[in-house]
Amino acid sequence: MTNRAASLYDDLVGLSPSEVEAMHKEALNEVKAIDAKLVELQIKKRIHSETIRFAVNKGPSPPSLDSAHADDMIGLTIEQKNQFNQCLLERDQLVQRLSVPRHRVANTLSEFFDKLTTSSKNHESPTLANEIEMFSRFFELQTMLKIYHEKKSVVSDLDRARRTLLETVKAVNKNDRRYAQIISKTRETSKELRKEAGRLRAFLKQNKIGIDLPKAPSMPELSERLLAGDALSMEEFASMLEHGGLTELNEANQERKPNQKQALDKKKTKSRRKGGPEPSAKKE
Amino acid sequence: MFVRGESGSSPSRRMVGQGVVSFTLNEHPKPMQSEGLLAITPEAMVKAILERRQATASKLPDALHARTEENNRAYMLAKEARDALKALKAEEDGTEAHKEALKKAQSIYDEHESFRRRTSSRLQTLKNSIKDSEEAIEFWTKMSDGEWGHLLEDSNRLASGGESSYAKSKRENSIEEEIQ
Repeated sequence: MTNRAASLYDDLVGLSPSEVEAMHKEALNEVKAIDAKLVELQIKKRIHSETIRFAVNKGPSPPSLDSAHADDMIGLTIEQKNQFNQCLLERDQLVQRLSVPRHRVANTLSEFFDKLTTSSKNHESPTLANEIEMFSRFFELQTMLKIYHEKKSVVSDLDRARRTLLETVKAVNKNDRRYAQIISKTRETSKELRKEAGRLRAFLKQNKIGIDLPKAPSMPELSERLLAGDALSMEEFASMLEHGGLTELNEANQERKPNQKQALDKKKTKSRRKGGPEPSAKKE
Repeated sequence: MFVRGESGSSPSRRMVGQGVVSFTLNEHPKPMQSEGLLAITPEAMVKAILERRQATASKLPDALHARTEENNRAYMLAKEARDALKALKAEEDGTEAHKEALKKAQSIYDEHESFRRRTSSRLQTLKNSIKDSEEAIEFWTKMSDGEWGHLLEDSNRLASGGESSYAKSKRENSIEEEIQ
């Protein structure tokens, strides 16, 4: 234990207290900067995820964008989705107005023409009543076919809008995954920096230098997500209530998974042995 | 060179597909056909209907003559068979030969009577067709003077931005269903 402690602070032994304090301050500043970056990244990721949900009809409305988080790709996706919705609406209106599919219009038109104008053994001659009905229907179907010809672009525009939107959504999804990777890496860096700040703080405390040394702000995932404006589940809220951090996000010390919680308990026991802060103080 | 015949369990490859009609493919009209159909005017359609009607009507007198003759013949045959049957029934003879003759006469009568009914029905159908044809020619002749306006109501409504009669009836049906 003594050997471990000695090796843990090996690099600090020869340094003056003011140098270690400066290192500690620097580490804290870096942690703060990284935490701010994490919140920013979480906000961007949330905007990307909400945009994808909106584009694939899983979300009712597009994400609200402020000028700080405006992204060309997101703006383009929302614009393309609105365009696609417009095309869809036009197509639906046309289908609702005509009610008969194009191929059936063409087939029936041809069939009525044959029945009205040719005598064939394949079909019985229509009666006068049938002829009147078919005559009327024939010209209605003819108008329908003309409308289909005129509105040919409605279907092609819809197809084009769908393809373009899909391509853009793919790009947004790619960015979303990239943000997730960056967040994960940044979180790792933050963890390392926190560890370093803790180590420096513990060293200074052990050597009785500085009574009110500031702690590195605790910024685990739930706090980041809360700051980024994400919703938390009831279990996550319960966890935060139990472990603190709901009212004072900087002092949050919550863990979601039980195995992580156990690991934290072990850490606490270790730090107590080394003369670290009391767990009750953390909870406050 | 040996050429395999068409006999045996394996059909010749050349026979594959013959007589098989793909309804799915045939139902789709060719583009030219659709284009042609779009150019048809009400005047041209009325004229085409009249031409078909008149062509059909020109054949009707001959058909009527043939059907009348057929019906008369059938009537005569049935009448003769009925008289023969009646005569046999009137005879008071209990012999086997008489019974056999009666049975045969009954069978002939049934056959002729059935034939008479069929020809009578065919004649009546033809008479109805003639009547319908006369009415149709009269109607379409009137239409050829440009009185088809009321027949194009659905088409005009659709052309001026309204819904089709199919959409209209669909909507009305759904409203009815909602009410029920």
